[in-house]
Amino acid sequence: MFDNENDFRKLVDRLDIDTMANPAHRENLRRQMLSVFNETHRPTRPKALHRDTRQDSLASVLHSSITKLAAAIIIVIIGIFCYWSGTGIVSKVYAMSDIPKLLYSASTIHMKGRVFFPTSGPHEQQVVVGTEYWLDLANGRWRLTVPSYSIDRREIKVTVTEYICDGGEYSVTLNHTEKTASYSKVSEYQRQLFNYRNIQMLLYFACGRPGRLDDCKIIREEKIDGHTYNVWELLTKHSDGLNMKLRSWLSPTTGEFARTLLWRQQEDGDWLKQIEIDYVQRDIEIPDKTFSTQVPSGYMLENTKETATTRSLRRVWGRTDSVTLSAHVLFTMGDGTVIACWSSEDSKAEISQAELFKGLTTGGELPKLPFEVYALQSSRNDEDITYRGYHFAYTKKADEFYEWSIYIPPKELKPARTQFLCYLLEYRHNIENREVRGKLRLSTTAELTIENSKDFDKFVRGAMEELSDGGKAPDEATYENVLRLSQNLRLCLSAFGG
Amino acid sequence: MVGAMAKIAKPTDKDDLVVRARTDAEALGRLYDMYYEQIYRFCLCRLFSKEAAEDVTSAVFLAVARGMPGFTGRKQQDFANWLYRIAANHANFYIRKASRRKDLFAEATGSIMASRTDSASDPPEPDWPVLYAAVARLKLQHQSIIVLRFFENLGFEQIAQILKTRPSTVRVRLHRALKQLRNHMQAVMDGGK
Repeated sequence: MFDNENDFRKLVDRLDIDTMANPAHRENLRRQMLSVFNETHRPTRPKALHRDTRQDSLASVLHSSITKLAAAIIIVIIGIFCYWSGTGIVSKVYAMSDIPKLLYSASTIHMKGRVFFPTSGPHEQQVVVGTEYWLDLANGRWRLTVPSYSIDRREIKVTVTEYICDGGEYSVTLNHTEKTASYSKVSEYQRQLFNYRNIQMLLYFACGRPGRLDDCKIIREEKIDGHTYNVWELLTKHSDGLNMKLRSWLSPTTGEFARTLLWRQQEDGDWLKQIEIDYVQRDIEIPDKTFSTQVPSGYMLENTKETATTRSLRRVWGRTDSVTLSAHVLFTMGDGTVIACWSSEDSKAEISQAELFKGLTTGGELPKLPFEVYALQSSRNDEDITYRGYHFAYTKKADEFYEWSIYIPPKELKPARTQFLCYLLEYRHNIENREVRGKLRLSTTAELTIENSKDFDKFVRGAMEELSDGGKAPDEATYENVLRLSQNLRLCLSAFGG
Repeated sequence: MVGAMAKIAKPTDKDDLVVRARTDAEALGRLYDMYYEQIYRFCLCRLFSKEAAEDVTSAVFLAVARGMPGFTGRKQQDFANWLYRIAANHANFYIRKASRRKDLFAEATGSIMASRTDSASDPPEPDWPVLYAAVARLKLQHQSIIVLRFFENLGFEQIAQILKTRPSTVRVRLHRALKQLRNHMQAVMDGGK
């Protein structure tokens, strides 16, 4: 037999194993592999338009001795100016913490990359689908190519949907998988809301958690296409062990991204890619036709502009039998207080919900709707935070009642969206003999951060107006009132232990 | 012969081939030509059956074709490690399927019976079917370590990189695996299952 490692090695060396591969398999696989590569491969780093232009201009300047001299003089003048003015222009070094400012100040953004979906097979069998975002923030126009997936009988089904808004009254949704198209009306408020949400989504792709950017570290420097990039890494730990890792290739001199990659850790410890962005351009000219809401030929139209209805803000959270629980909009104040608009209806109920809203007080108990979301719990965070819910206001539109609750964390916090990905809902059922099984989660990625009264009026009061008959928001709904109320409730919580 | 297998993971000045292969099919084809044999051999040593080895080798290189544009490694060693990692995962996945495991076992034990009938030596030298049947009783990760170390002749450092663990952990696991393997081989040679 064998006694030690060396004996075992000798034993293996003496084995006669026929490891000769089948040449036909080798050739066939080679062809198949290259065909798959050519199908899935997209150019990963197309050169930036303005960078090319810069390089071309520079080349033509350096061609002529006159322009060379002029260029040299200009460079000297700029150098002297920077030295004397002390503006720091030449010494500006971009870090990850600059990313939110760079994106928020952009007039247009174009981002491309890939989304990785898991399969039931080995990790390497992830399904990779392209994603692309065109945002014209100044004019409220967007074109988003968003893949999503579902699992049906252990089979992965990927759906690629494109959302296009040309800045006008309508948006079109193209389902490229089913080849269907539908129009929606977009209100002025929704255009502003989606514009803001879109940029927050890109911010998430670009830098993971904006609230954690100070924890980013440079792990190395890399040259790509002759340009130097700092590779930044951010590791966020979650209580369930499903940690996240972000790497971003950021130019220290221009603040341009070359690439950004987001991974999530699996139960077996492996890191699985989630999103890769390898093309980011800011402030570029976007051709108008990019935002065309014209439906391509071959797509089945589900409605027309004439029959289109206004896009709903509703997202259904949970459903049981005849009862639904829906989220509409979600905001976080600078102190971490969450304002959530939600509703819950029982289609079998024979009386109006008006009774349930009678006698409610601001900062008091929540209405006893069929579902009652009495708290939010941070999910996948390194710290468990409970946000307790209180009634703030309500609105009513077309027979539907909307509850506006505020959820108070035990202390002042950074906005949740910047820290963790979703809330776990703590809820009860106020109808007898109805129980909901399973956990309901609410993503924080669509949450808007409100840090001043201007944004409060624009987004929070704007949503209240959108969700009320007559388009009127409750008078007590002001930025100052919410902050004051949250502070008082926090004091009560700490004084009486909740 | 297995003993003649070369160590593949030496850094090379042709590392830019890996970077080019992210976007260039010709470069990827060259990498394929360089690594096909090694990956097929690794799969064969993990799975015993030639058919299974071909299936898993195919799955590995198709996964590479899909994942290559996003591959972040820059050196050939990074690429080789990545290939072996994919291959180990796919082989594990293949073996985990209970029916397949049974098939592989049946194929190996069938070969043991055949080799016993042909052989007149006493005591018999453990041959490949015997060794495989014993290796197949180990934990999946221990199987990978045995194959990478003795059939692919890789160092602890590289095995650790492939399996995303520490070299010291690989040493400890290898020690345990060999101890168990000795018992399993004895059991297989004694005719136990």
